Amino acid sequence: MDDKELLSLYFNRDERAIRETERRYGNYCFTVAMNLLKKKEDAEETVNDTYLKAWESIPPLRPKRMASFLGRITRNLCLNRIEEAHAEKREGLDVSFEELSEVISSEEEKTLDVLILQRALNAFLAGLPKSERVLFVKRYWYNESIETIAFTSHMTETNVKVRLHRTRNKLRKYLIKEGILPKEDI
Amino acid sequence: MKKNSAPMLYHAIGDIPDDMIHEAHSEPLKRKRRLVMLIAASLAILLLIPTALLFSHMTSPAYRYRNHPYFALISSFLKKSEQDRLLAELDRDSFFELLSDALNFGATKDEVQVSNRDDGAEITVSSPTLDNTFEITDNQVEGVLEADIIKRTKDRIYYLYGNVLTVYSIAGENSEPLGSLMISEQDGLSQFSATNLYLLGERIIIEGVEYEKTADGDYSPYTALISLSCEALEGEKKPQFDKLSVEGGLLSTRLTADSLLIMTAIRQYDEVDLESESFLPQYEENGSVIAMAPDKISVSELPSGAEYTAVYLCDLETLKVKDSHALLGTPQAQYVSGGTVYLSSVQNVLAMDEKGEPVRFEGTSGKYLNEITTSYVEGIRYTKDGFEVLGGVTLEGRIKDQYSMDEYEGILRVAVTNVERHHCLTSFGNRIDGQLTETNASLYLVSGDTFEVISSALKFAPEGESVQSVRFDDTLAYICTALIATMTDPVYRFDLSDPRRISSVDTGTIEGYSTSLITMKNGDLLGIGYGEDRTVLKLEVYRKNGAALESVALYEEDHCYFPEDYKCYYINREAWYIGIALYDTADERDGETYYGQKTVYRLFSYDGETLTVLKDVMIAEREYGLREIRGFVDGEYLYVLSDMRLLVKPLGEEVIPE
Repeated sequence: MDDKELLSLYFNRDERAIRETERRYGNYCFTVAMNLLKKKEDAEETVNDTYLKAWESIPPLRPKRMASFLGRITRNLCLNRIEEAHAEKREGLDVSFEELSEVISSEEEKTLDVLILQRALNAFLAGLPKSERVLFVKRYWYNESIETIAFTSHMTETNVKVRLHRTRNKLRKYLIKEGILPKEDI
Repeated sequence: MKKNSAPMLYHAIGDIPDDMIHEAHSEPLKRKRRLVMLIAASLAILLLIPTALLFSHMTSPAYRYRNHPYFALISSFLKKSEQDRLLAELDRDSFFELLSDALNFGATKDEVQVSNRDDGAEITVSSPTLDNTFEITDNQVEGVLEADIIKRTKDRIYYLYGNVLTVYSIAGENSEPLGSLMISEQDGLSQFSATNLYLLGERIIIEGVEYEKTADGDYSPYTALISLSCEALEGEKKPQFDKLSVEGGLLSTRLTADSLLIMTAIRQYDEVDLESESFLPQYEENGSVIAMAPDKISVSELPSGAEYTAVYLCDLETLKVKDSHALLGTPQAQYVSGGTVYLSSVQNVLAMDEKGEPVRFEGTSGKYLNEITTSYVEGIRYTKDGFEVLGGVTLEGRIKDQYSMDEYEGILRVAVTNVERHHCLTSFGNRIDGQLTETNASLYLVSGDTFEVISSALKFAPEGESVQSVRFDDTLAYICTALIATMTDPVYRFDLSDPRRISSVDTGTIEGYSTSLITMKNGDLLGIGYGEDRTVLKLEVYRKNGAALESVALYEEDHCYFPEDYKCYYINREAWYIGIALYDTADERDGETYYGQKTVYRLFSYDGETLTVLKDVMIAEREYGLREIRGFVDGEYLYVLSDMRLLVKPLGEEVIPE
C-alpha cells in the first residue's frame, strides 16, 4: 500500500488507516520520538498520539509526504511533552539544544519574530550544500546523536562535530547579515 | 556557554520544508537499515531456536555430521541455517523481507579462506629485550606491552604516520630525522595499512591489516606483521623486511618478555560450506595453510554463524605461530593479564524466568518480551610454549573495552553496561521492536579457577546510565557511569579487598563524564573526559574523603575537541605530566569569545593539588588528525610528533598560551 492508498483510507474514514500507518511508519515515528524523549514508554505513547492526531487532521489535510507529516507531528508532540513535564530541566533534549544556543542567545530571542526566523532559516538551509544540510537536519530536526550521525554518514565523530559547528557559525552570520540578529553580538 | 531558556530556533527548525526532512532521513538509510536488520536478524534467529529444536534428532541435518571432528561447530551453524530456512518460508511483507536481506548481507565465504601464499617465512629476531624502551602512555598491565604509533628508546623516537615510519634522534633542539621508510605495494603487500609498532630488541615490528582481493571481487582482511632492523632504517638503502600474516582483521596485540600475542576477528556472513574447511579459522605455517584443530575452538551454547575471535601465540625469535585458539561468537573486548588472555563475545538473548520461559509482561501498547545483552568471557592461559583453556563465564551486560576487565590474585573483575530492549505485540496486532537501550551498570567478580561469579554489584548506577570508563588498581575499582543525554555522571570507587563484600563510595551526580580514568602515584584518580557538553574538555582529580569521592582539582576548556583513545595521551605518573592534543575552536578572553581554529598539543602538570597548563605547542591553524599526534617529555624538552614533523620545545620558556 502506498501513500496515495493510505490517504484514501483516511478520507474514507476507514480505521485500517491507523493500522497501515503504524505498519509503514511506526518504527520511523518511534525513532523520532526516542531521539527526543529517550524513554520507551513515553515514546510509544507519543507515537500513539501521533496516529490520533493524524486521524483528526486528515481530512481536511492531504499531506504530500506521509513520513515527514507524521514525523513533524511526533516531533511537536515530543517538544510539547518535554516542555510541559520538564519546563525547567528540559530533560531529553540532549546536547543539540545547547548547541543551538550558540546561534541565538536567550536575550536575543526576546526581540525575534518566530515567523521571520522561520523564513530566514528555510532560506539559509536551502542555500547550504546538501551534505551540510543533511547533517544539520539530522542533528537538530531528528535529534540524532553525534555517534549515530557519524556512523550513518561514514564520518568520524570529530568531523561531524566540526561540520555542525561551522554550519552553526554560518547560520549566525547569515542571521546577522539578514538583519535578524544585531551586529554588535558578533 | 550561553544558555537558552526558550528554544525558539529548535521550534523554527521543526517547520522546515518536508523535502529537507525527507532528504535527511533517506540519505543514510542504507547503512543504518543494515544495522537494524542485522540486529533484527540476530533476534529472530534467537526467537526461533525453540522451533528449530523441535525437529527430531534423527532427521536433523546435524545427524549427518555426528562423527565429524568439528561436530560442535557444525551443530551451531546448522541451528542457524535451519532458522534461516524457516525464516525464508515465512511470508512477511516487511519485517522478514528485510530480515532475509540482512541474512545475505556482508562478506562472502571467501573472506575466511587463506590463499596459499609462500611468504610466511620465518623471521629472525636478534636478542629480544624490552629493557631499552620507554612507553609513552603506560600500559594496562605491567610487563604486557601494547603497540602504539610511537615508541622510543633512550636516544631514538620511532613514529608511524600512516604507512610512513620515521626515526628521529632525541637531542633537544638538535633533534633531527635519521631515516624513514614508506611501506608500499611494491613491498609485496596488498593494500597494507599500518596501525602500530613495537620495538623488539634491535628490531621494529609493524602491525597492520592487508586486504586480498578474492575471486569474486571482495576483499579479505589479514593481520600482517612486518619485521625490520632498527639499524637498516637509518641506512641509505631501503630496508628489507620479513612478514607474517594471520587470518582476520586486527583486534589487538600484546608483547610480553617471551611471547607475542595477536588477536583477530574472523567473520563469515555467507552460507557456511561444510564440505570445505573454509568455515574454520586458519593460519599459515611453513607456507602451508592450516585449519585450527577442533580442540582449539571454543563453542558457546548459542547458535552462531562463522564468527570468531582468534588468538595466536608467536615465538619472539622466529615470529612463527606456536599455538592458536578461537572463540566462536561475535567478537567483543579482549584483555591480557600477565598469564591469561581473556576473550569475550557478545549475544542478545531473550530474558528468561526461573522456569526457563521468556519473561512476558503487558504494557501501555500491548504485550512485551524483553531482550538482554549477555557476554561470554573465556580465559586462556598462555606460556611461551602454548595455550591452555581455563574456562568461561556468561555475564549479563556488554563489555566496553579492555579496561573493563582485570585479573588480580586469581580473580577476574569485569564491569559491564546492562543493555535491554522490549519487543511489543501491539493491540493492532503488529510488532514493534524497541531500540537497544543502556539501562545500568554492573560489576562482577569471577573466580579464575572455576569461572563462577563470586560476588557482584548489580545495577549500581542511576537508571539509564552506562559504563564510560573503568580503571582497576589492585584492590580498587574506579568506574565512571554516565547518562549521555544529560551529560552527568557519578564516579564510583569500589573496595574489592574482600571479594565477597564489595563496598563503594561515589561522587554523586556531577557534570560531564570521564572517558579515561588514571590512578596517580599518590592514590588520586584523574578523569579525562567531557564537561557540560561535548565541546568541553574536562580534567578532574578525585580523592576519597570519608564516605565520599570528592573532586579536588578541575580544569575545563570550552569549545574544543580531544581524542578519547587512551593511547593518545602522554601519561607520566612519576613526574605527573599529562599531554593531550586538542582542536580548539574558540578562545575566551576578557569575557569575549574569539572564534578561530587551531590544533595544539597541551601539556598539563598535577602537583597533588592543582592541575596546571605547562605548555602549548601549536600544531596547525586548522583541524588536524588528533589521534595521530603524540608527545612526551624528555629532560627539559617537550617533544611533539604530528604528520611527518617533530617539534621540540623547551619546558622552561614562553609557556601558557591565551
